[in-house]
Amino acid sequence: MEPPVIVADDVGIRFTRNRKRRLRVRELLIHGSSRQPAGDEFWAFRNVSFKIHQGEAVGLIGANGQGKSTLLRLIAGVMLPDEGTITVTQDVAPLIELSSGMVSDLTARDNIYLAAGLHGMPRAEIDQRFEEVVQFAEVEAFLDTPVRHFSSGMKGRLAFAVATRLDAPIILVDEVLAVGDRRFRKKCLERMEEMVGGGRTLFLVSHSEPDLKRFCTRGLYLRDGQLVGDGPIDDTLAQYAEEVSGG
Amino acid sequence: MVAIRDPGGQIAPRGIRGERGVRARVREIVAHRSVLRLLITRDLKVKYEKSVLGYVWSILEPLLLAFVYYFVFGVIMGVGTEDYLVYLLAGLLPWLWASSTINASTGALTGQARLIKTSSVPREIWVLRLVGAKWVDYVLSLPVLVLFAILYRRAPHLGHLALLPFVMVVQAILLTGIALLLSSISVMFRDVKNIVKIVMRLLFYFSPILYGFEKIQKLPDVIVQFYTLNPFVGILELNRAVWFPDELHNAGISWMSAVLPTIVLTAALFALGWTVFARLERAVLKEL
Repeated sequence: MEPPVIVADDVGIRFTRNRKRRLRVRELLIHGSSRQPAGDEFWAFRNVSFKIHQGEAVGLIGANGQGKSTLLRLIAGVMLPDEGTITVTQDVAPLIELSSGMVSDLTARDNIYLAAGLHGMPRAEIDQRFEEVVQFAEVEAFLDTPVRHFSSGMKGRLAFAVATRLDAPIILVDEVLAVGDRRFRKKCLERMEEMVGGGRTLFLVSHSEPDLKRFCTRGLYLRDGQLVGDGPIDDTLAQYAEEVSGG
Repeated sequence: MVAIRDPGGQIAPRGIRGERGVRARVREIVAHRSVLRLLITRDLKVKYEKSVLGYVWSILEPLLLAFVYYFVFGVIMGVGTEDYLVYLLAGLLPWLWASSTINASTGALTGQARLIKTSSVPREIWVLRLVGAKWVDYVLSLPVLVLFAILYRRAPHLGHLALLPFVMVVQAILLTGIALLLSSISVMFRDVKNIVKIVMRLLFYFSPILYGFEKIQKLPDVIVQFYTLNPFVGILELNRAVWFPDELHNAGISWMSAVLPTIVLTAALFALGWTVFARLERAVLKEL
C-alpha cells in the first residue's frame, strides 16, 4: 500500500477561554516553558490520530464547536498543533472561510491572481486557467470591480472557482456549500464529484448527511475533544445519530 | 492520476515534536519566493499605478521634511553644516525607510489576518514583504538625494559609495529582525503599536540625522556608549559618509568602528526577532 498523504499523530490543540492572553517574557524566549496549561485554557481536542491515503474521501462529523474546522485548519497548515504532529505530504487546496480569503479592495481579477499565487501557482499557469475560473464563478461582468462590492454569494463563488482550479491533490472543504444559490450549489457538487473521481483526496466538514453520504467513504467523528469514531461513513453517521438522539 | 505539485516544503511534519528548525524554515521561505515577489509587486502596483501622483507622494514626504529641518536648523537657528540640505537628505532617506517599516510592522500580521488565515505560506513572508516593499520605496527616493548633491556640486566618496550596498543589506537584516519581533508581539498586545510610534519619534532625535555622531563623541563616555546602542547610528553615519567623508575622519573614527556596533546589534536583534516570531507563531495563528 502507498504511504498515507495525511498523518495525524496524537494531535492536540488548546485555546484560551479568556480573550486577554497573558504573555510572559519567559514564554517568548525559553522554548517549552509553558507546557502546563494555565487555568483559563482548554483543549479543543487531544490525542487525535489517523492516517489518510490518497484518493480517500473523508467526512468529518461532530456537533458545533467540537473542533472540526480547527482540525481542517491544522491539515491546511494555517494553524499549528500544540501537541503531536501533522504530516501532509501533498499540496493542499483549502476551501475554508472562502469569502474571507478575498481582499476587498482588490478587483476580482487581482484576487484571482493573488489567491492562486498564494497557493504557489505560477503566473503563466494562472493566465491559462483564468478564463475557466471566471466562467465557473460567473463573474465575467465584474472582473474589474473591487470585491467589496460583491455579494457574499459572489465572493464565495469566486473563491470556490479559484480553489478548485488549483489542481491540488488534497482538497479540504468546510461548509462552503452553504454559499451560493441552489443552481450554483449543484454546480459545486458536480465539480467536487469530478475532483474526487480524479483520484484526489477529500476532507469534508458538513452537517448535511446527504452530502456526506454522497462524497465520503470514511467518517471521522469528533466529540468532547476526542476522536470517538473512525470507520465507514454510514457507521459513523449512525453512531452520531444514535448519540444525538440518545441525549 | 493527479499531478503532484511541489508541496513547497510542507512535507516537514508540523507540530511540537517536529518543530521546524532554522534550516526547514529557510527552505520553506525560499520555496515561496514567488509568493513574496507577487505580494511586493502588488503593493507597488497599488501604490504607483493607481494614483497619478504615486511617485511624487513617495518622495514628497522626505523632501518636505528635509526642507523644514533645513529651514529650522539651518536658517533660523543657524546650526546646520555645510550643504545642510544634502546632509539632511543623506540621513533622512535611510531613516524614513527604517521608520516607515518599523511603524508598519506592528500591522504586518494583523492587517493581513484574512489572507494569513486562509493560506499556508510561511508567516515570515508577510514580514519580508513589508521590508521589501519599503526598500523599493527607499531606492526610488534616492534620485532626490543625487539631484541635490549635483545641485550643490558634491562629489561622492567612492570608497564609501562602494560600501553602500553592504550597508543596505545590514539595514535590511536589521529591519527584518525588528519587524519580525514587533509584528508577532503586536498580535498579542495591541498597545505595542502606540508604543512603537512614540519610540520611533524619540529615536529620530537620538539618531545622527540632524547632526553627526562627532557631536555626540564630545559628550561624556556614558552618553556615547548609551548612544551607540542605537543600531541605526552606524547605518546613518555610513550613508552620510558617502557625501561627507570628512566627518568620519575628523571624528577620528574609521567606517569599521562606526559600523561594528551596528553589525553586532543587527545580528542580535535579527536572532531575537526571529526566535520570538517562531515561538509566538502558534499563538499568533490562534489569535488573528
